[in-house]
Amino acid sequence: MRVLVADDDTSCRLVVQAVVERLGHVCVAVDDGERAWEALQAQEIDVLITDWMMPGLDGPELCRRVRGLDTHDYTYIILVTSLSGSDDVMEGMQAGADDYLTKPLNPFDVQTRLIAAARVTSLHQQIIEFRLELERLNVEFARQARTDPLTQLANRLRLHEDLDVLRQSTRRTPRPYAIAICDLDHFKAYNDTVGHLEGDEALRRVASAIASDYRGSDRAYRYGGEEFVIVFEDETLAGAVTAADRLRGCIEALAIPHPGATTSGVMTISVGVAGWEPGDACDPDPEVILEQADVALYEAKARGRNRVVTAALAATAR
Amino acid sequence: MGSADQTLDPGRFEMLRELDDGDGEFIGTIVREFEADARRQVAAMAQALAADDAPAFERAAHALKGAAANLGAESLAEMCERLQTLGRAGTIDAGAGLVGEVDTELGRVLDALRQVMAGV
Repeated sequence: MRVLVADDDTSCRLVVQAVVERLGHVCVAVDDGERAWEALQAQEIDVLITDWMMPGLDGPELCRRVRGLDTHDYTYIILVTSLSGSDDVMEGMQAGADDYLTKPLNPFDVQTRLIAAARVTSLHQQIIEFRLELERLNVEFARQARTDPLTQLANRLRLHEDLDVLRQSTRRTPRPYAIAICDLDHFKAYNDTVGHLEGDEALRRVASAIASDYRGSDRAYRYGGEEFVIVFEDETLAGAVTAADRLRGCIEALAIPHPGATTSGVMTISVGVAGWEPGDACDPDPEVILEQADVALYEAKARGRNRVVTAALAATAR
Repeated sequence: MGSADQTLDPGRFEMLRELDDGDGEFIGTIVREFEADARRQVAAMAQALAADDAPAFERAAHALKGAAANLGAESLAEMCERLQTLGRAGTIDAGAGLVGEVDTELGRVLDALRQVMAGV
C-alpha cells in the first residue's frame, strides 16, 4: 500500500514512517495539511495517517476534503489525536476518518490498524471492479435486448424507442421523415419448400443487403418474422420511395432461388412507404406513419408483389 | 520522587529502538529532531508569554507535549499539558514559572537521552 503520513512533529512522523516501511509499504511523509492535500490529489494514496492538529489545514478538514474527492479509489483514513477528548474523535470519525489512534503512537497499534486498512481498501477495490463489470454488462445486455440475434439488425423494441425519440424531435423541430416496411414475398412458401434453416439464411442475406444499402442517418430494423422497417430521417416521401425501390432491385438482384415465387423465381420484397413533412395535415406521430406504411404494404402485396407502394394518396385522402 | 523515573520512560525508548536497524541512525535522527523541535517550542512559548498570545502559547505547548510523549518524556509531556490548558483558558501568565521548569526538564530529558544513546 501507499501510505501518506501527515504530521508537523518530525519525531512522531519518523516513528510512523519507520513502522510503515518496516511492514513493506511505501511511505510518503509530509509536515502539514496543505502538503498532504497536494499529495492526495497528485497520487493514489491507499492510507492516510494524519495528525489532528496541524497548522493551516487540520486533520478533520483533510478528512472532509478526501471524502469529497470525486474518485473511484478509496483512501482509508486514520486520524491521530492527542490524549484529550472523545469529542475530537467523534468529530474526526464524522468528518470521514475510518479509525483513530492516540499519541504517543505505539508501533504495534499502527501495525494492527494497517492490517485493517489493507483489508478495507482491497474490498473497496473489489467493489469498484464489480461495479465496472456490472456497468459493462448492463450496456451489453441493453444492446443485446435491442438487437435481433438472427440478422444483427436492431429489433422491434429498438424501433419503438427510436420512433418515440423521432416523435419528440419532430414536435420540437418539424422535419420530413419517411418509414418503409419491407416484407419478403411468399416467405411461408419458401420456408415450406426449402426448410427453415434456408429460410433463416435468406433472412440474413436480405438483412445484410438492407444494412449495406441504407444511409448513416437511416436505420433498419427487423420488425417481425420476415418484415423489415427502415426509417428515413430528413427525407421526403419521394426520396424514400426512390431508396426503397433501389433496395427492392438489390434484393431481386441477389437472385436467391425461390421455387414458390409466383413472380420471377427469385426472392423479392414488397414495400409500403409512408412519410410526413412540415405542412402535412395528418398526424406527425411516427407510429401513425408506420401504420400507414403497413397499409401501403398490403396494397403492394395485393397489386402483385415485388413493388413499392406509397401511402401518400391514402393519407391525403383522409 | 517519581518525577525522576518519568523523565524518560525506558519502555517507550526500547520500543523506538526496536524500529532501528541496529546502527543507531534512526534513533539518532529522532533524538536530533526532537531536540531541535523542543528548543523551538520552548522559545515559542517564552515569546508567546511575552506577547501575551494565548493561542500561540497553546499551540507550542501542544506541539512539545506530543513530541515529548513520543520519546517517552512523561514528566515533560505532563507539564506541557498543564501549560496547554492554561493557554486554552487564556490565563498564560499563571504559567510563567512553569515555562522555566519545562526548560529545566527538557535539559534532563536530553541528558537522559544522551545516556541511553551511549548504550545503543
